[in-house]
Amino acid sequence: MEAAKINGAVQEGGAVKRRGQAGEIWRRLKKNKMAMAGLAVLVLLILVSIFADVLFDYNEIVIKQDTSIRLQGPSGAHWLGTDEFGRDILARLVHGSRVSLSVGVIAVSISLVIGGALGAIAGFYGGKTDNLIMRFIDILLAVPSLLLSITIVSALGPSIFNLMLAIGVSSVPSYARIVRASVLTVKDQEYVEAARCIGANNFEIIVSHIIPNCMAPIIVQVSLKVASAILSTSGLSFLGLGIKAPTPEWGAMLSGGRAYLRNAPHLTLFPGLAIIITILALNLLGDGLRDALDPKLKK
Amino acid sequence: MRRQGMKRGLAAILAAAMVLGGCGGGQSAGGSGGGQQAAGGGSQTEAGGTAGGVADSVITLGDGVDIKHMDPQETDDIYSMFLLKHLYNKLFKLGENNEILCDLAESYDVEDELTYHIVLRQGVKFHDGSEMKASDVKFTLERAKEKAGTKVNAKYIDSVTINGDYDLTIKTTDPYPSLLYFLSGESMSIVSEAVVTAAEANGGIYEEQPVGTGPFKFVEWMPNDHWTIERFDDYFGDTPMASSITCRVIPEASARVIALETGEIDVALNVGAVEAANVEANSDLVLETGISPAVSYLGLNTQKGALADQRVRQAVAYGVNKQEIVDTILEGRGEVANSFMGKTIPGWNESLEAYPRDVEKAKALLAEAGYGDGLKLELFINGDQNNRSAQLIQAQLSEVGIDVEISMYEWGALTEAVKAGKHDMFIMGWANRSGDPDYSMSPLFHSSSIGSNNSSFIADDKLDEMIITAKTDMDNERRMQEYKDIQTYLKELSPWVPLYYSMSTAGRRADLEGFEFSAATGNYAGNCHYNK
Amino acid sequence: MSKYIVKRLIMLIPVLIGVTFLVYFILSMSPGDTATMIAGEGAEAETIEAIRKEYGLDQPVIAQYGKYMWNLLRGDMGRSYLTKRDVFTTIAGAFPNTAKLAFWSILVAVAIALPIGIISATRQYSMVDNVGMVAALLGVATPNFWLGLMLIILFSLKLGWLPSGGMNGWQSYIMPAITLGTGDAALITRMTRSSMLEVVRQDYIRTARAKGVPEKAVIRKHALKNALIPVVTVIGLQFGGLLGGATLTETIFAWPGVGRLLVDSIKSKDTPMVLGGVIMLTITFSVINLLVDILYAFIDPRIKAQYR
Repeated sequence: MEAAKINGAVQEGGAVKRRGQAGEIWRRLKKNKMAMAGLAVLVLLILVSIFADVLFDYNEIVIKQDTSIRLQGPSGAHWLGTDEFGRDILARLVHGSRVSLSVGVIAVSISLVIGGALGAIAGFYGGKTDNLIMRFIDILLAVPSLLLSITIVSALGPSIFNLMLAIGVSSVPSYARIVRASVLTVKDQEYVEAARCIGANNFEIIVSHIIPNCMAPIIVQVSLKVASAILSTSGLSFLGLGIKAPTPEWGAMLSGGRAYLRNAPHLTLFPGLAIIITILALNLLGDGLRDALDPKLKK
Repeated sequence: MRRQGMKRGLAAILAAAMVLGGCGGGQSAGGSGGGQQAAGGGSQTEAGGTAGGVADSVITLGDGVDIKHMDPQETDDIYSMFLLKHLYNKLFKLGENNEILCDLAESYDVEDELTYHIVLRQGVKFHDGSEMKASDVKFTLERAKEKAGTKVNAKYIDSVTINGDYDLTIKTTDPYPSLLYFLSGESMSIVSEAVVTAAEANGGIYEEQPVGTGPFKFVEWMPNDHWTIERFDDYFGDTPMASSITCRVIPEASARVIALETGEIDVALNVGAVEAANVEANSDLVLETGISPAVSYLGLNTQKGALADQRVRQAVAYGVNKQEIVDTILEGRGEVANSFMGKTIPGWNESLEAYPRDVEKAKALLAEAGYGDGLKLELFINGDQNNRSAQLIQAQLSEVGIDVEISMYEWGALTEAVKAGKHDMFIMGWANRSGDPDYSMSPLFHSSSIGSNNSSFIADDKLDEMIITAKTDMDNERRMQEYKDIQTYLKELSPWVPLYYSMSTAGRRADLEGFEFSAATGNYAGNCHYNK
Repeated sequence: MSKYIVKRLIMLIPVLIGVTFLVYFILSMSPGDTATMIAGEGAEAETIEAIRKEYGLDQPVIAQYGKYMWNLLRGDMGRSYLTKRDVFTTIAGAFPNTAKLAFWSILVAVAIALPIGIISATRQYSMVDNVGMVAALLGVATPNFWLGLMLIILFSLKLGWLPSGGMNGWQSYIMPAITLGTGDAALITRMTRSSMLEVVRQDYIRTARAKGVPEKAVIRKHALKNALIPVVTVIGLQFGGLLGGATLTETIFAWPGVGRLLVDSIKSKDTPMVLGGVIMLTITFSVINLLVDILYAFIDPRIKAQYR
C-alpha cells in the first residue's frame, strides 16, 4: 500500500519529485558499504575499458606474438604471464573488457526487454493470452540454445552484435517465466486494484505498478545473467561463433586456455577471475540497489 | 585405357605378387601375419603359452570420440575403424611400411591387369560359428558397390566369380592399381552373407549385432560411454592375449590422461600434443608416438583475386613460418610438411623441400605481382587448433605485407563456404589411411574434384593428365616416380602451403605389454596384457 | 484442478508441432549441407549424392517434414543419419543418465542455496550474509569446465578418492553433481534471500511477530511459504535446464548424457536425432513447468483460484 502511494506520487508530482526520489535512492544506496564497493569496482572496470588504449598499445602489445616466451607464468615483465602465443595476458584482459562488458550488458538487455515484456503481459492478462504466450515460450525453451545461436549467427552473419543477439534470445524464456511469476503474485495486491479504481489503464498499471514491484527477482536475475552471458561467449567461440581473432575477449581467452588447463593454469585463471570480480561487483551493487529501491525499507 | 603399358606393368606386378605371395605362404603356418605375429607369439610364450594362462586379462582403453558404425561398409571414421580391426578381417592388410600382406586371402595372383585370382584361407570361422567362404567375400564386395561410402572405389570392381568354396576371381573395369590397397581398408572387412541378409531382411539394419571373423566378438555398445568386445575362441590366428577389451569414451584429453594416471584405464588413445608432456612426465606411463599419415595445409583459392597469380601463392608460401607452427601448435611434436601428402604414404617425395621462410623474397614476389602496397586476404577456419595456426599465420603474413582476416566457422558452414569458393585461404588436414597415393591426389588436385574436395580450385591440364596417368599405371615402380613428379609440380603451382605432419600419440601404463601402436595402419590392442 | 492438468497436457500437442516444425526448418536453413555432413570428412561427390538419395534429402523440406511427422504419428522417430541407430532407443538410453545427474545436482544446489538464502535474509548485512552471498556468486561465475577439471585433479589424481569420470556407481555422481549444483546454487540462493526479504516486511509477518509467535515459526510457517513462489520458479527452470543436459560438464566427466548427444547431433546436422532430442526436451520442460504451476497453487491459494 505504501508502494502505491509512492508510485502515485511520482505520477502526479512529475519531474521534481522524480529527481527527489532518485536522490533518496542514492542516499540509501550510499549507506550500503558492500554496494558502494561494488559500484567502485564497476566504475574502475569501465574506466579501464575506456582507457585501454592508453594503458596498452593494441598493435604493439595486445596482439603482438612472441612464441619464444609463450605460456610463461606471472613475472615482472608480464604481470599475469603470457598466453600460448607469448602475448601479454594483462593487456589482453584490459582490452578484452571492452567486448566482454558490452556483450554481458547488451545480451542481457535484449533478453530482459523481450522476455520481460512477454512475461508481464502473460502474467497480467492471464487466461488465453497467458496460455498462448507461455506455450510459445515453451517452444522457444525447447529449441536448443546452441542451434538457435548457430542459426542466428549464420543467418545474420558473424558480428559482435549478432553474437549478443544470439546469446540474448536464448535466455528470453527464463526472463519471461520469472517476470510472469512475479506478476502473478503482485497483480492481486490492493494497490493494483486501487489503481484500477481510479481509472488507470492496463498499460499504466503494468508500467507504473506491476513492474516496479517485481524488480527484486529481476535485478537478481539480471546481475547473475551477465556472468552467464560472458561465459557463453566462451562456449560459442569454441564452436567458431565467437569474436574474430585476434581481438581479445574474456570468454574466448577462457576457452582458448582450456587445452592448457593442467600445464599452464594461469591462461584460464585470470580471465576467470576477471569475470568473477565483475559479477561480484555487479551483484553487490544489484543487491544494494534492490534494497534502496524497496519503498518498505524507507526509515 | 592405357593398353600399351600393359605387358611391362603386368610383369612388374607379377613380380610384386611373388614377393607378397611369400607373406601368404608364411601365414598358412598359423600366425596372424605381419608385425603382429612376432609380438603376439613372443609374449604368449612368456605368459605360459595357452589361452587359459592369460584368461583374465581385461583391458580398458580410453579414446576421445565415440564410434559411429559397426557395419564395415558404412564406416569412414578412424574411431570405428579401430573397433572393426578387432572384430573383422579383410582379404589383405597393410604392413608397417604399407606393403600388402595377406589376411583372409591365402595367396593371390594377378592374371592380367584386370583380373585377380584369390585363394582364401580355409577353416576361418565367423563369430556365429559358420565358416567363411568365397560366397561371403563375393557378397561383401558386391555390397560395397551399393554402399555410399565404398562405391567410389568399389565401382572399379566389374565382377566377382566364385570358382570354389575358397577360390574366386575379381575382374576390374579398368586397370586399377589401388585395388589391393582398397581391399586392405577396414571398410572392406568381410561380413557374413547369412547374418547380414537376415538382419536386413525386414528393412532392418545389420550393424547392431556385428558378426565378423576377427579375434574378438562384439559384446555391447553404450553410445557416448563405452564399447566392449571379448576374445573369440575359434579365431583362426593366434589367440589374443587380452580376454576382454573395453574402450571408454573420455572426450576431454586432460581427463583421459588423468584416468590413465590413476589406473582407471590401461591405454589412453590420441592424447594430443599438449597432454603428451603429462604422460612423459609420469614414470608409470609410456608415451607412444609416430608420424600420422595426415598432412595439415593452408589451402589457397587459385581462382579468386590475387591468389590466382602463382607468384602471390608462392609469396604466401615464403611468408609462412612452418617451423614456428610446429613448435607452437604441436608443442614441437611433429614435422614441417615438405610435400602435399603424408610422409608415410608410398610415393611421398622425400627429396622435396618446403619453401623456406623468406620475408624479402615474399615481398619481392608480391611487388612483382603488383601487390607491393599490401594485400588483404580472408582465411576460413574451424576448430581450436586451426584457430591457433591461423593466428600465427596472421602474424607471420603481416610481416610480409599481407593483412589476414580470420573467419571462424562452425564445421558445416566451413565445408559449405569452402566448396562454394567463397574463401581466399583455408586450413584443413587430409589423412590418407588407404596406403595408396592416389587418395592423396585425385580427390584434392584433379579438376573434376572441384566442388567436392578440390577446394583450392586448382585446374591445370598438365596436372590432371599426370594424376590420371599415375592413377591407372600398373607398373608400381614407375607409378611411384610419377607421384613424386606430381608433388614437384605441385610445389611450383602452390595450390597449398603444406604446414605440418603431426604425431599420432597414445599413452599406456608402463607395465602393460603387447599394445601394438601404429600411426600408419591403426593400433591393435588384442595382445595387451600384464605379466603378473 | 485435474481439468486444468488435462488442458495443459493437451496444449502439449500444438507445442510439439510448433517445436518440430521450427527446428526442422532451422536445421534445414542452418549452414552446412546435410548429405555432406553425413558422408564425413573428405567424402567424394559421388558418395554425397548417393547419401542424399538414400535419406531423401533431395526432396523439398516440407515434404521431408511431412514424412517425418507421418512416421512420428505412427510412433517411429526414425534412425540417426549418422549412426543409423534408432533415435528413440538412443535418447531413451541417454535421458535417464542425464535425469539422475540432474536430480542430484539440483539437490546439491537446493541444499546449499535454501539455508544460505534464509540465513542471509534473516540476518541481512551480517557477516554470514556477505560471506554466503560471495560464496554463492563464486559458484555461478566459475566456468564449469574449470571447476570440473580442478575437482578431478584434486579428488582423482592427487587423493585418489573418486573416479575421474564415467557413470559407474554412486561415487561417480559426486563431482559432476557438485560442479553443476554449485553453478545453479547462486541463483537460487539469491532468489531465496531477496524473496524472503520482501516477505518478512509484509504486514502479516509483523502481525505474527506482534502476536508473539516465535521467530523460527514465523520464518518457517509464514515467511518461507510466501517467499517460495519465485524460488520454486527458479528451481524449476534450473532443473529443466539440467534435464536438457550440460554439455561441458558431461564432456569433462565423460558422462553419457543427452547434452553431448544433442550437441554432437546439431554439429553434424543429424536431423532425426536433433528432433528426437528436442521432442524429449519439450515434453520434459512442459511437464516441469506444469508441475511448477501446480506447486504455485499449493503454495498460494489465490493462484489456485485461477486454474480452472
